[in-house]
Amino acid sequence: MDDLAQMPARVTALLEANGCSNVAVDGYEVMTGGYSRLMAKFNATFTQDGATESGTYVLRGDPPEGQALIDTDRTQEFDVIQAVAPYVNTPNARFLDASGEHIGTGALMIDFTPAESTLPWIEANGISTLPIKLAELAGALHTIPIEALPAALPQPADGDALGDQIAVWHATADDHVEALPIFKYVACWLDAHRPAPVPLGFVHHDFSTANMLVDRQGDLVAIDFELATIGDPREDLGYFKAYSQAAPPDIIDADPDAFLARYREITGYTEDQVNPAVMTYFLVLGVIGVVTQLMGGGGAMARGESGSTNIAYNMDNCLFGQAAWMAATDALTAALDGGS
Amino acid sequence: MLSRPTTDQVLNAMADDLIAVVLPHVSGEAAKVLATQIEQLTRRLARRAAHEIGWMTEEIAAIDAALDRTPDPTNSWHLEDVLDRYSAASTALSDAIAEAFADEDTDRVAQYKALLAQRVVNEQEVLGALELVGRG
Repeated sequence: MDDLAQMPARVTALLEANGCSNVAVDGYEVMTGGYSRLMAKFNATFTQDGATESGTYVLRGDPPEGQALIDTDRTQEFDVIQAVAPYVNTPNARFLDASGEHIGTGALMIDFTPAESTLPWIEANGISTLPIKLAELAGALHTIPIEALPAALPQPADGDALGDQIAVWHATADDHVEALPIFKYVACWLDAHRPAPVPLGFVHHDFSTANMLVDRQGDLVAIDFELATIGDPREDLGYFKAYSQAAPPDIIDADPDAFLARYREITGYTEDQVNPAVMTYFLVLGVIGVVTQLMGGGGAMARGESGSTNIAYNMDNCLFGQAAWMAATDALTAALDGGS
Repeated sequence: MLSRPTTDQVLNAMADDLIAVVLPHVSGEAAKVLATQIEQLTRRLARRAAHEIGWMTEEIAAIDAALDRTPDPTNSWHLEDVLDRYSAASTALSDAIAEAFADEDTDRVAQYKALLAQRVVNEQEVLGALELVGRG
């Protein structure tokens, strides 16, 4: 995907394989910011089903073998984006090259959204409008009917989303290339301090300002659905807060009451089900999807199966997580059960 | 062997040169991000190289004392050998944590958490100030 000379012809081949004609591709350029996937942007004109379309599009593809930070499936991501796009502010997925026969690597073509990265937007415009916008984005994601989502999307086998996530914490602690007693402590602590349950719903699993844009209307746009599952939607709120500790500011902290009120209004959750203490519980629980992928990448590197600076760099950042999780369990023990 | 300048001094000098000499000549955004990640990792590796055998050895002794484990008689200080002993101690600590929670033994949970707190202190010294690069 980095070969600027070849890529217009490859994109043309993908479009023609999907029944498009009169295809013209130009302005192909590599994008930064897609930390787990290769990203590029280009202009295209093509005719499909008798209608001619011109626009700017994004190509999102797998890195070369052995360099992937996390291992995810482009077909599932493509299906998820198409399923959630009617409900959520997100650029739709248009075409898929699952095998990489046209693009040279597994890739999907997505509509381009003329929007700005969230953190620079906050620097220029302030944060005051975003707690409500974030509640509306999270609420929209978390109220998508499960039956509208791809059947292949992972979900808890017995409906116990918390139990499933806690099991992942245990498995990550037990299966890594070395023992991880902090992970084991967190797994046991989470199991001993479960909050009131909510119905299963859509979980983005990398719900952070890094995967949001702000469009021209000032609305938040969700992107990057490669880690999505069905589970406890509050995992996204916890993950958002965890990520915001590492990459501030925390939009929720700008007005937590307003955020929670609007989020409860959209989702129908009660104050017992979503409150500041519960969000902090999920701050710990909700990171495990991404953390397991990062630790797995580091484990593969330790076994000599892969290797890149990005893998080592991102696994190293789990050190920050370990300190944050332990601090959160300390702070919440008293709040959730008055001791132990 | 020539032991000085030390490993951490050499790694820090490499990180300095990467930023001051190499990075200004790098034009691509992806390569700039990578160079900055390498600089951060190199400085972390410098701090880790300076202390990791000492820290692991201290932690092993603390875990042995807390769990009443018999110390491993091996006295090799080669990194792989220390890593093996550290991994065995960490596994024993993980098992003890799970058992303490299952028994709802809050005293033992608190005792083991104190061991983890020292591990976190060491990890934070390796990490230094966190400044994420490469994400939007």
